[in-house]
Amino acid sequence: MIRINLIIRLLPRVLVTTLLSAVLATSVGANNLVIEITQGVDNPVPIAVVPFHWSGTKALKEDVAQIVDADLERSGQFKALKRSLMLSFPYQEADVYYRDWHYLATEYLVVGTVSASENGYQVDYQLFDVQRQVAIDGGRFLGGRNDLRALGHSVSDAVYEALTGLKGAFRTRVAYVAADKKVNPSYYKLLVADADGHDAKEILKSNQPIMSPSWSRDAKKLAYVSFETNRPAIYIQDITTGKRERIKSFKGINGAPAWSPDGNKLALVLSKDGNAEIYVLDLNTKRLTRVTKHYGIDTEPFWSVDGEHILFTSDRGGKPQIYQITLDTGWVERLTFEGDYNARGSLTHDGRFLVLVSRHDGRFHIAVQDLQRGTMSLLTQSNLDESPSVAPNGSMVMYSTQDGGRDILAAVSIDGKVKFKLPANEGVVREPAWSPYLN
Amino acid sequence: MPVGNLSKVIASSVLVVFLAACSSTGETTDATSSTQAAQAAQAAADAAALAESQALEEAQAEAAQAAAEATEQAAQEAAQQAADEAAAVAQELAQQQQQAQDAAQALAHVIYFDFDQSTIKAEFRTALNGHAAYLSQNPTAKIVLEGHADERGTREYNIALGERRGNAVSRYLVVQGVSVDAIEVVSFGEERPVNAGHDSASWAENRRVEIRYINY
Repeated sequence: MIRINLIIRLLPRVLVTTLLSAVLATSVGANNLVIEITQGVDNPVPIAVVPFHWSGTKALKEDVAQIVDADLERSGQFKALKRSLMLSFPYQEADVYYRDWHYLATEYLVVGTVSASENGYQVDYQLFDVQRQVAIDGGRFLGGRNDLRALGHSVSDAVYEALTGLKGAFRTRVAYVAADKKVNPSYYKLLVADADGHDAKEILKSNQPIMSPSWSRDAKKLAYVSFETNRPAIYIQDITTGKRERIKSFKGINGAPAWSPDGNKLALVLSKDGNAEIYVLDLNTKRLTRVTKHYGIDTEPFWSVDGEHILFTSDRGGKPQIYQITLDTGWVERLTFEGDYNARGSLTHDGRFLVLVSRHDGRFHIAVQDLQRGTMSLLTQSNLDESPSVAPNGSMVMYSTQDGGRDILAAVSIDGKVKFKLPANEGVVREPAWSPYLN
Repeated sequence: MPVGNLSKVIASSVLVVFLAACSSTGETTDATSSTQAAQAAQAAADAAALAESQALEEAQAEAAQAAAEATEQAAQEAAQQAADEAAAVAQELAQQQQQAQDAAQALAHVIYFDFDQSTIKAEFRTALNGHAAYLSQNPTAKIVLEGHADERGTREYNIALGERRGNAVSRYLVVQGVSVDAIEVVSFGEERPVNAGHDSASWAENRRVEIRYINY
């Protein structure tokens, strides 16, 4: 009950800068909320995340409150209070003096504790509404010895959901490709990091290109394209065990793997029958079904949430545009009409927004098309932006772009208002693939 | 000398030896001395027979060896000649092959394309005709056509674009008489640029098909 009241109260402030998709998704039973969204634009909500109390003797490897602080700020919807400005460091409700926080113009307050558990750590947190002077959310997360960062992200997810009504996507991962800055000789790496860029782990290294990472629905496996045999082949790799399987490859293109929502099929692109066409491979029966039949290029498949349609890029009309095919009937429909280059379409989780790469005045940007209204808007103004990948909650889009002459990862909110960069320490990084929720 | 005559000669010489032995013992001829003389004559006859047989064998072996040596020498000479001739022919062929291979290698191995295009420009036809001629005349030769795109546009679309360029070159060569089995097309899209720059000059260098011989 508290949470619902809170959401209503917060909508004018918080959801303005959040994803429209979420607003529309949550507004089904409460249309009045949609109207309020247009007010109070560009005011991030002030929040204070007090350092969490640690009951152990040895210093912790991670500052959990700092992780929560950074997560919330990165969403662009919150402005975290600096620690140096805090007047006290409460970690339980009895020690919270609302007047202090009100004085600091903080609207929400997060406090918490970290304690040792049998196999690792236990994190307890509480969220307070400063103005109403009440606790509005709280909880406990348990994790192993190496899970402190994950526990922090879980707190961020809970706080974010309590304040916006939208499930948080902080405890997720991103797969991406890294390469040397030099052209030749070069190396190519497939990496997986937390969504905030921490704890990057190498999945594969090769002296030949690696491309198109795609997550399985359970976020445990990656399908990708590797040229390690001097020819392209699709592999499926378990990111925990490292065990991998090569999918039967054919002469020509073997590319653009995309997992179906039920996790049993893989859409992919083969040119064995003459030119690039979309196929669906049943991962259980190994049966391969051809989906598209056209002399033009058909590539970049993306499944609709219900698994009944596949979006793809095709130049069958002369220039690359995004189409949708209904798998049952083979009915093909063109989705994009604005501009002469629209490619690599993907959908937000609610199916409302089409995220794509779009060329305008010779420059490549990330764009979003509202499929209900048919309007397209640009999310980025930089050039050579590509490989957009939407967070599982639809709030942000990660993509690759050029920064100072090299490829970096960046993210933009689905409304284009919030942006952040994730540059690599060395070399170039590209093709981010945002994982599904890790549960 | 016929063997029969030789026997007669030896028999008569044995008689002479026998008579000489008898006379050598003096005036008095008794039974014992006659027997010794006969034994000596027999031994002499045996030795003569053995010598005759050995001589015959040696003569035969000598003749055979001479014949064999003659044959061997002739064969060696013939073989040497044949080898010399073959080597000369092979060298000539290898030279021709090397010249053809050098000529093929000297041809342009990179075909460039305009943005978003897979049309083969006229300036690359001479080079492609040269490759086509070499490939038609050398049925064991094989090539990989590596298609590439510049960094603009999406990566998987560029893979398809790179393949389209590779296919355009492949079709051109096939029309010139090259077997489809001698050609493989592999697209690398924008993944393997030759120039890492982000300007039109760099992009023009990266939009290409590389002709790579995997067997000459």
